[in-house]
Amino acid sequence: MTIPTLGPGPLSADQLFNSCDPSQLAFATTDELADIGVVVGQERALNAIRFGVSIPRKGFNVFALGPTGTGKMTAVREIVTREAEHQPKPEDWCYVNNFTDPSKPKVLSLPAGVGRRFATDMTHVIEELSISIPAAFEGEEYRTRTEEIEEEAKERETNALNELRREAKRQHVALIETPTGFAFAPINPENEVLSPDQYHALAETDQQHIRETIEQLHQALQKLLRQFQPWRKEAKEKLKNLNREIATFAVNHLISDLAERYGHMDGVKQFIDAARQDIVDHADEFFPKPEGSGGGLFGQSARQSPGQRYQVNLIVAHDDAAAAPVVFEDLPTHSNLVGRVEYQALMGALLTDFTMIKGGALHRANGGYLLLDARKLLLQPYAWETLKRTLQAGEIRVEALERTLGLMSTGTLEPEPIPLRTKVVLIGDRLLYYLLNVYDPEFRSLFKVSADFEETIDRTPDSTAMYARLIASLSRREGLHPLDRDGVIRVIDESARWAEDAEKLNTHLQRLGDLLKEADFWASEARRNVITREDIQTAIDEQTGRSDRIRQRLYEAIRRGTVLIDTSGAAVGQINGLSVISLGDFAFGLPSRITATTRPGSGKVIDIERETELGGAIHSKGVMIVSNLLAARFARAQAFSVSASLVFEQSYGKVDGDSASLAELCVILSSLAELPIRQNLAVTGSINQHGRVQPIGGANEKIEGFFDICHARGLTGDQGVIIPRANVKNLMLRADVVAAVRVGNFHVYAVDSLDEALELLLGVSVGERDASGNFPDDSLNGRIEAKLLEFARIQRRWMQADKTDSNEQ
Amino acid sequence: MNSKPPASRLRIVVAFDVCRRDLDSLELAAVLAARRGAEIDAVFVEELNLLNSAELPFTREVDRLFGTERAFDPLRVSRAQRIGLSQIRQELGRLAEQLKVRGSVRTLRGHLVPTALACVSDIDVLVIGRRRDRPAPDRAGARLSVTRRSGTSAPAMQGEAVWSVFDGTAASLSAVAVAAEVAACEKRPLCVAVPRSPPELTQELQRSLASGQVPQPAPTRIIEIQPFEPFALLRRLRQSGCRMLVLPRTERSLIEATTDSADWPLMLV
Repeated sequence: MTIPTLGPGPLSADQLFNSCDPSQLAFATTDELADIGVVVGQERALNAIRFGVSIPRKGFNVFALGPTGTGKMTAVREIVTREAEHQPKPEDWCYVNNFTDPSKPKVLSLPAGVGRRFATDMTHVIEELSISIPAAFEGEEYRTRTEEIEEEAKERETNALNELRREAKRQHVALIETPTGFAFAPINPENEVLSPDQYHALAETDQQHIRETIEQLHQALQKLLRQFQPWRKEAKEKLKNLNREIATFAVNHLISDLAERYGHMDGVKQFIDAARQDIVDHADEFFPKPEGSGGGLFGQSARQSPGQRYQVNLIVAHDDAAAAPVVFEDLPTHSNLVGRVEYQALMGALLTDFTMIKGGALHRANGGYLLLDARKLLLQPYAWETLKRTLQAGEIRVEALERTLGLMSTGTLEPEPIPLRTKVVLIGDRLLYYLLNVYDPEFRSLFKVSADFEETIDRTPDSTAMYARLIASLSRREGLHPLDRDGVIRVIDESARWAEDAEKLNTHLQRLGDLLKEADFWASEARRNVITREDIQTAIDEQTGRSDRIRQRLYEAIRRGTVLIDTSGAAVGQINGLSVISLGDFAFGLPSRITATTRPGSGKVIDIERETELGGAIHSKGVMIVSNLLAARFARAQAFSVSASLVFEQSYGKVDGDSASLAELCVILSSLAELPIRQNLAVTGSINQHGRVQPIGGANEKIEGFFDICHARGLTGDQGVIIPRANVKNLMLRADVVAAVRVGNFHVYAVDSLDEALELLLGVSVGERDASGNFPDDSLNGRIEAKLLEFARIQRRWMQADKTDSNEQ
Repeated sequence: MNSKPPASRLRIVVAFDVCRRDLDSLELAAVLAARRGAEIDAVFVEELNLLNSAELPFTREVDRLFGTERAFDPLRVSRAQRIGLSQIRQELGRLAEQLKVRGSVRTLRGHLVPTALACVSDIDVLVIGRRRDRPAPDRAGARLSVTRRSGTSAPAMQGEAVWSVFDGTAASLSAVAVAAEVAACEKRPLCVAVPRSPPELTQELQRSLASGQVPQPAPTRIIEIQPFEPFALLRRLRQSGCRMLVLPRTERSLIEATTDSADWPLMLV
């Protein structure tokens, strides 16, 4: 077989690989290059982030979107950290007891660094009070005054009784003490109670007088005894007031010190005053309790230490901070975001108080910036809803998820919410961003700023130089050997290949970093202190080799004739198509045989893949375009009296995409015209209804795939691949392919139209209509038209025969 | 009624009536009896005035706590007395067995103090318990059992002290000695009240304590009272707390004042 003479000529070797110009890189090794921010060429995204973190408006949180590995997190951290340096340190936050309603702890805000001091000072005050309060009650003054009050109360009762006793005696009546109370009885001059006989011996009037007197005395006694309760209450009240006075004396100087230091802060003054009052009211809590009292099961006691209710629970402290916080929460669960209330189990019950409130990432980031991975956030149950609710409310509410969901009905704490002033930056892939945009109406109002990261940057001398610095920065950051200039050039070229574009460079930093690390390893293995081109190539080849198993098996199947692929000769209705198989981060091209048959029919192109539900929607679309193009070209003046069928031979899996539509059309036309297609060429390209060839993806892999098959069988010098011209700029072919092309052992043809592809594949002129509208007989179109006319005649004959048969019946 | 026994063997007589069933004092008396090898004699006095009051047709009782009236008849009194007597017998039986002392219970009718005094010989010791409605020893309240912060050398009080008085007489010295013995039994402090003047009394007591005439439990405090009269003394006792007051039988006015208030048990020597 010879090289085609019709159609466009092959591409030159220089068009197949765009290598870096060494003159653009004026250094020996990357040691000479200065560091650069590791995110390059992302001006749109970086500007968006800068804008988003600077604008002090609600709702202008940022979503950084782009493929993984493009340095989104790094960029966000750098920019946010730089911005945070210009922001003031935010407040410290702490929770304190609410003495009127302990289930609703109050929150205090203090200047940065003051929170810890306040908490410590409060602890010291309570420790001091644990000594000073008992000591005050141990003092002589307290004892004396207590005894005075008790004595006074006792004397009051005793005196009152004695007075009544004396009054009774004046009336010759004795006040007798009984086992449970008192009784009155008449007495003789010797103060002996009259016996019944003595009483009855008295005159009736005397008896009457005695009874009346005793009745009066009874009433007086009852009145007196009823007064005892209020008197005792008075005494208790006096004792209580004394206790309060003593406690206040003990408490005041310590609390006053505290008030002087912190009382000028809002909220703190009220807390100190409330604490002072509460301490005075509960001074007895500070007395040491006798052993064995208040104990629970197994010696555990539910009683707190006396000072615990006055502690300060510092949940956010910015002692050492120099600027606003930047917080990255790696596990953004509900409780890690908004904090939680912890519990202590005691004898089957769960106990908690304000000291068991723990802050979350939003607390730590309050006044600063919070960075979250969007996917991780969405994977955590209810975390996304929690974040939205918090951002909308503008306050952080510590609430257990079980309570939010209504699963917990037991009492728990309701801590006072904390006002939120935080900028949130979500980092995620594009799919998440667009899904949220479409399906979550709240998303757009909360994340108004999108920072869209590019996968590629333009390949210019400036960007090439910047990329070299990026390589230098990455290698230094990872502690790798420096690269020499050729090594850098190889990396840059490989980056263009990753970008599938000779005029672009890939921004996937993770992939770049991995390549450098592997090359560094190979350099070390070779005992080199500098990473060379050879090391980079070794790394690339080794990466490929690790992922190459399936490709090797498939090529082996072709080589051994299990999968039928011709790379020489010609055949009617048979063509080499090309597809790409992607396996994670490794992709390779694979030739596949596409065949077509044609016969008289009604103008339908049967896609066997579609009929068997192995063809995807895009593939089906491509076949329909083929069908309509055929009709448009050949059925404008006559019926399109042909049925055609297409199939990917020996393909038993899903087929999708329209990159084979050019090949499919060519093979149908080959079948119609009964002209053989060159099997030493493979074709890839998408076609539109007007016969224009459109670009496809994976051009490099497809060309290399067919090359590998041909190379394995021995290059004949006339083999090659037809690709869309629009894909020429995507070419970054392997060195061996370029070398083969350079010496003329392999060829790559770029076509714009169907006719150019047909001339290459069939070796005949396509043909133009003459003045009478006819194609030349020996042209492709002429042959096809003749075949269509023949099919039309055959169809008419069949129809007539059918008619005759049915009339006869 | 005169039931004075012969003065052959020391007895500790504990007097009760229906309002004074101080079993703590009975126990203390039993301990003292065991130490001294004495007998213990519980005398339950049926208060004459109470009995006569109950038998009068119009007498009603006014409840101490609520001020309500209820019927007051001999049946109630005798029932209360029986209950009291039964408790005393039971307690005495237990103490006699536990402490290996001889004990007896008898019932007399009359007025408590004179009747009880009539039961004791010169060498006997008489204990008159506190009234039932008075709090037991070491009552809780405003007093705290923490070490004084002032760092004074005053030792921690081991509860209420045993008190006595010293007026320079031999009888009062005997009373102090008995009080010291009781304090040692109960591991309590001893407080002795002396008149502030003449000042020699204090010195005399100190000499007696130092010479060993009176065993000196630790701690022992001498408290000067001025004026040295029942009201002031009782007031001081109430302020400081008193486990038991030990008096010579000659201190009539003090005895009368103490038995009237009945805030703590009284021991007469």
